Amino acid sequence: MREVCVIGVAMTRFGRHSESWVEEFGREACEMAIQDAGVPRGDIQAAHCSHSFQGRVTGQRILKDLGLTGIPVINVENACAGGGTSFHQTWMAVAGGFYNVAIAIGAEKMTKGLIPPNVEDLEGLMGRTYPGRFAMMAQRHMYEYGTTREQLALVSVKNHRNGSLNPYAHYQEPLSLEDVLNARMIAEPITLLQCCPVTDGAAAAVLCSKDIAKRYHNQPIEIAASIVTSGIYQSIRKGALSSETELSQRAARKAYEMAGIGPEDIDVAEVHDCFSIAELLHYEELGFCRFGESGKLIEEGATSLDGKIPINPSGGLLAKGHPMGATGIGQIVEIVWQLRGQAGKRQVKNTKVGLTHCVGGATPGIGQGACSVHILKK
Amino acid sequence: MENKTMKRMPIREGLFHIPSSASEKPYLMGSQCRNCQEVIFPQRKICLNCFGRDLEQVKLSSKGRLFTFTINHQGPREFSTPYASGFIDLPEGVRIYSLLTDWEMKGLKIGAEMELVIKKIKEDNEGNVVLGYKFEPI
Repeated sequence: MREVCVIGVAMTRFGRHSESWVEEFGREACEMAIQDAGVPRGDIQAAHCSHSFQGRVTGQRILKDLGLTGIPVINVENACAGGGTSFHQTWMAVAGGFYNVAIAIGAEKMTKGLIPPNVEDLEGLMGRTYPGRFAMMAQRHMYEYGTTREQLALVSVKNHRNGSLNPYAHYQEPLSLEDVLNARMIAEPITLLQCCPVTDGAAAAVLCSKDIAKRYHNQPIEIAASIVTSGIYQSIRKGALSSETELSQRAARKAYEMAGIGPEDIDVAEVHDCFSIAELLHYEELGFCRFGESGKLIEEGATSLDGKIPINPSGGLLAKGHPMGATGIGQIVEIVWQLRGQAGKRQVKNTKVGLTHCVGGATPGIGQGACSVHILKK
Repeated sequence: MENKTMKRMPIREGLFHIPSSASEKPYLMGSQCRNCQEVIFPQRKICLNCFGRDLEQVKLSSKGRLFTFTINHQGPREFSTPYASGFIDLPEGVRIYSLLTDWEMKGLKIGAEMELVIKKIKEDNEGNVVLGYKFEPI
């Protein structure tokens, strides 16, 4: 297996692109990433494109006007972890020696409102929505650990503060604790401002094998770990963790093993904060604090830009937005910028190692369908 | 109002037994794996725990405890808000997602004892009453 680097990244501003086709803003992201990489287009040998709702051969539709034709283009669907999966597949293709240079793309144009359940999903047919699902996790966390509504809301306050410093974020206005707590209730205790918005956008990353990376870019970022995995049934009878917790925890453990480091070595992370509670759960699952201590971690400011482990400097899904298939690549873009020192006003100091994490695709029986964790280093 | 010409139909076959008289109690139907004894709901042909294929249909307890819940203020179009949903832990060791009912007066509390009822979930496009399972505080 060869070592692989990210040499070029780009994203469109996340937001509502109602006047623009996914082919257009998807192409824009690819064009900028290729330019950032300094790679002649002819050197790109393969592409993976993740999306969930864009119809057939979206990657080919995006790439054709760039002249990236006649190469293998593989479209990837893995719900909220689609972007992480597309990046993982591209990494595998280069690590495995099949290609020297390849591009990972994520692009999504969402439709308004709640994401509809799959038709065979009985829970979905019986009114289980995504915010409702996370609200139930929040209620349980509050019951078990005494986590408060204020601690939950602080996640959104922090991420919107970060988003206000990110010109690529969907929402760029800071919010007060009162704004978040007093927003319209969606599923108790989750208010509207603790839910990720409906967002369109695209992101892309160019990868190449480490031995040729410096030919293209003077600051290649190494991929120290790339993990994609899926949920496992957990027997309640045997007192197991929930499938969701087990999944993210297992994916992170594998990633730390692969990189030969631990959570204490991570300087900055982008995690899947689809709802406020999700970010708190991920602090625990990814090992940034012990189980039950995530409320305290956010309250102490440890995960703020100047804290000991800054989380979601981009604004996360809550402020930057969540165009499903693009989210995972958007996280990679942010971490690459953070490691290169190109993150502008939201730059975290002394970053050497960064982590990204996506999880999603609710699947009764196994919890979540997919989880990706990546560790990048300078 | 329920019209007499409307049909009453379960949201899916094989989920629950609808009582035919007032003296009879409803129950959910699950599967128990003969290999690993895991109890699963809804019924399955293949065990989620050990992937064994020798499963038998079992009646599930109609009482359980509330593991967690939420009050939904936004939901699919056919649901009027607010509505409550939660997970119920049954003594067989199975955790079931369910809509909750009769909570407005009695309130909901994690750990509280809850009982199964069969009730209208929604109306379909033809105006038929779609029946489903719900749990209510005891």
